[in-house]
Amino acid sequence: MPEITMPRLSDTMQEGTITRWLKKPGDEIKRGDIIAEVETDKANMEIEAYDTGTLEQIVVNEGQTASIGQVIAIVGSGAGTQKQASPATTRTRTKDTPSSAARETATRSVQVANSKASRSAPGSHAQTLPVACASDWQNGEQGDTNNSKIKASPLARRMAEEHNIDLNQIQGTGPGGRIVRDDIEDFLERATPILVQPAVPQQEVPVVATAMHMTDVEISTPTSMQKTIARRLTESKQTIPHFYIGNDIDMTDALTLRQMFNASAGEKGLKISVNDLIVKSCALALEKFPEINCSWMDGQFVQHKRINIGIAVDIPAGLIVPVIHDANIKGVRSIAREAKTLAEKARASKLTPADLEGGTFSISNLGMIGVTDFIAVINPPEAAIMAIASVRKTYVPIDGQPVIRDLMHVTVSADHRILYGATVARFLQEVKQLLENPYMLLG
Amino acid sequence: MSTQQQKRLDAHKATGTETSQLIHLLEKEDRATLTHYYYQMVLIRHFEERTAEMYNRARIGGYCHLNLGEEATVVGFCAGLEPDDYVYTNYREHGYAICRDISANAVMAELFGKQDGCARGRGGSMHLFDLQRHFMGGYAIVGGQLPLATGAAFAIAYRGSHEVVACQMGDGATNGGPFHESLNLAKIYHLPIIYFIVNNQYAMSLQADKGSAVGELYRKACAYDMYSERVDGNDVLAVRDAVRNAAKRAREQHEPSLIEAVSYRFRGHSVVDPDRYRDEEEVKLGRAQDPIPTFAARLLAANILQERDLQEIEVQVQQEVDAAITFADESPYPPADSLFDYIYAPDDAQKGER
Amino acid sequence: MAEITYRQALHDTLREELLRDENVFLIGEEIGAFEGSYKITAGLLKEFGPKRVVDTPICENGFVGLAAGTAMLGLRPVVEIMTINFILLAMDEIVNHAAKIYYMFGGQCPVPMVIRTPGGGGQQLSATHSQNLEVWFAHVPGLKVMAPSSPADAKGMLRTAIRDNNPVIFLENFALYNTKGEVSDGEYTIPFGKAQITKEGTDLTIISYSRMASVALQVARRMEQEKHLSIEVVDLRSLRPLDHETIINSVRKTNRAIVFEEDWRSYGVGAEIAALVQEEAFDDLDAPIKRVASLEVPLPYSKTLEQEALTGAKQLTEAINALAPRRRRS
Repeated sequence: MPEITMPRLSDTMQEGTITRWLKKPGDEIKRGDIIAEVETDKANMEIEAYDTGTLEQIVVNEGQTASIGQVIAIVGSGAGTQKQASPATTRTRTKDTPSSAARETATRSVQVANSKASRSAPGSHAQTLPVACASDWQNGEQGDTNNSKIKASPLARRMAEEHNIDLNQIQGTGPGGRIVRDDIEDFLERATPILVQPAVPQQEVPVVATAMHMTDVEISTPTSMQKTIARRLTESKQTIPHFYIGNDIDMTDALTLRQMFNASAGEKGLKISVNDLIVKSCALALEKFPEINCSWMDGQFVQHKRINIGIAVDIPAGLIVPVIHDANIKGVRSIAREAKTLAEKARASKLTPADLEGGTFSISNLGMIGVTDFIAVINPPEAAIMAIASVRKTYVPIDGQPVIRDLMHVTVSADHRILYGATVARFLQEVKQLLENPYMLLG
Repeated sequence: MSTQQQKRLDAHKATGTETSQLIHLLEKEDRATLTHYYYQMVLIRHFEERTAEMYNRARIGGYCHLNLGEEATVVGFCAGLEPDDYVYTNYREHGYAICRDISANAVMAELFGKQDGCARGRGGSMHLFDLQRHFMGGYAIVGGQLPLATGAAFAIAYRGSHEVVACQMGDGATNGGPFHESLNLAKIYHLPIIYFIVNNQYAMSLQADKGSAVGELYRKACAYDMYSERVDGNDVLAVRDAVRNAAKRAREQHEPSLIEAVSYRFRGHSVVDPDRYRDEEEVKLGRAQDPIPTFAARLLAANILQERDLQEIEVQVQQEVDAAITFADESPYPPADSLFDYIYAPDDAQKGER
Repeated sequence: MAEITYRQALHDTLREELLRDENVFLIGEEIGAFEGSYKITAGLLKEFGPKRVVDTPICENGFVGLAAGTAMLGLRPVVEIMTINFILLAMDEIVNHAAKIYYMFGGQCPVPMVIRTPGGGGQQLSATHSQNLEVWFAHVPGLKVMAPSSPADAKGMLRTAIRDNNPVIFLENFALYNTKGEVSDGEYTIPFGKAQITKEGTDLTIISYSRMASVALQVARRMEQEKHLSIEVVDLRSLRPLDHETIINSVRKTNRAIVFEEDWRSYGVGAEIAALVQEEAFDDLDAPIKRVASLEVPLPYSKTLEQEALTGAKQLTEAINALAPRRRRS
């Protein structure tokens, strides 16, 4: 049955009030008849019929208001059916629903969690990093040599400057990998520009934590660095399945080489240390065993393309591990120079974030103190760490004869999620080979 | 005395037999008034000639449109009005400003862009203004002044005062929209306004009857059922009388009028127009109808003035214009930090009737 | 206090000013006998007579210029231009004359004139009846441009406009006329050049004016409910002069901004605001400023195309979702 609806009588009209019906139920209606008067926002208008028939029922009475398109009356054939019309509340203006807002948000957060646009060349592993670990880790790819500019919002730059943060160590989560305020805030919250490890692993100095012997104790608050060390190494020990492989390395020839080198260097010249040789040999060995130059991140293997060796330095505030980048391609002298500088900066508390980030393998050397052997805690997110003990004169059989050689015990702690015994053992063999044939370190 | 001045003085000798016919028309006039008209015409002539010189000397910049040849029209127009009446003009306005009692000093200083100019250096040649003297501007947009003038007349009718508005324009303005809209509004609202067309027969380079469907521009008033007439722009008294009558009609009946004064532009459209588009013979003829020697001849013939009076007037005028140039030279430029003055009128700016 | 429509607020202000100052008069097409195309001037001809409420023929150039001329002699005309689309016919009188007379004549002659006109699209009136041209006037020194979004603002700002001694373009909007809001009694004025923070927030700022400011407020409230986003809404109210301070302070606070405007994007109001924000608050920006505006087409008649072209709550919501910071501040 044809329905008569409220017509739109002006461009701004949204509803109208029937002021007078000129027809009543039962009346004949012809197309073109004026059947009612309606008051709109602008004027009083007339409603014209577009149908012919009998007015069956008035749905909107005088004095009532209806929206445009709403049924106001029913026209029939005259059969007298008094069907109750369900007022169709069609509104001409549909409310704008936020179309895919919810979906979009979900997508965004998943994107944020799962992938980060890498700043460097495509195909890098950065895309699988979750936010939390990414901020102080730089992927090894030097990729975009043309675009060394980091994308960061002006606000993020300002904040980074204020807090002395190197933007290189921050992974941006903004569009196109832009570093934004959120990323800086994340970074500051973690507050870990420093990678540290304890001086004596697995030997915990009894820390006063309980209330049991409060009268015999002196309580002090750990520094920010100490808190960070505590947190990170606890995390390391709790989450990384450590295994350990040790070996003795005959350092006699290496020491000789060192002596010769240093003698020719003269009084004021650059002196190389045993540690410098160890750094170089580890770096070369890592070239041969790249799987050790790896990280475990969020269930994925992350292969580092650069070899950056961290060297632990003992400082008054605790321990700090500056990094020598690209140790595999640097000569021993460069390494020595750099290590010296880093150690000095460390003691003067002048290390920059750039000095501290990017490490892929660490070395902890307690040889100068007098240690037969020890085991280090892995420095996350690295796959392994090498503990260097003291060089000791030891009798070793050479061609059936006891000969005094300078032996140095070395232990590698490794992450069993990434590495297996055989690999680490072979790696250690390689290091040993290099140090026992130190001329291979030259160049 | 310059060559031009001498030529002017000699030109009236060329007119001969007509003078007797013109003498009696001057009998009803007041001697001082007629002398004043003559003085004004010569002043305008000399002022404009010196203005062209100053422009060439780069003391005046921008555009400069001169009333040379139109002096009778200018003086007649102004003379037909009362001091309180409001005047709107186009950009060819120096003469009108002077005849409405803005000093030659203030006008020249404005042309030089100085602080003591009648628009404080902000307007220049095309935007002279003096609120107290009801000289409501010089306007550079052709026809732009018409709706404004019509509005001023509307305000007069609104508040019931007795001034009239006289709106001067060129022939070109009659072809544009604002002309038609304004005349229509003036008629339907019964406004006290005189629309005054100075038909110097060229709208820049376009001849008046080529740009207008109707060559006799006063006839356009019929579209608005408005009184109109055409008058000889070179006859200062005829112009004055036409304006006076229109003013009376406006003042007493609130009926608008359209007057077309036919004159001739001696030079190009502006000081930078080399005027190559006009026929040389025509220009010669036009210049020969110079209203100043014509009027001088009439005054001499009617014994209103003597030869020596004419000479004296030349001298006075020269002094007045020299003084104006000196004044303009010595007036300072507006300071740079006054750049933002007058963008917005403050809350306590002059309110009420103006 | 009363809840009245935007239309009613304008009407009341016009009436109060007509009563207060005999120099105020209204002029425009259909404002008298027809009571106004949008009924803003309903009843005023009857109350004040044809001298104070003047119907004009269709000649915007003529009657806007006429109004300016009356203002030169001290009257205070309030011109109604039926829709902002028709203002183009009067551009010369507004921009070359009204805006410049006070300045170029050396400060002798103020032009105290108001031009009221609605903009906006969405009623299928097609291209020449649906534009938003306010930015053309906001560009011109010598003019003032106002764009209130609520009945309360409309009342106070129209009063200020009428009492101001300068030419004021007073932008209304078709779809705002029927909106309602709380309005204080009495003759209050709202100063020009002061934006209003209609909602405070910390995560991002929406800068808007006229009808879009009203939409922005609704969207912001909804986003707060649904997404726990704390959005600050700046209702400019005044385009020239523009309240730099409020805009900059807000962006300094939230670091992220959207300009939400009904006009076309290129060279629009948002272009000015984006430029000014990056000039004055560069180091506080955490993201580029987003402009959400209508698509750059002559507005088509067909309903579906028209809806596609016009910006609105949907586009604003999308922009908010794209711009909202990962970490919430609230």
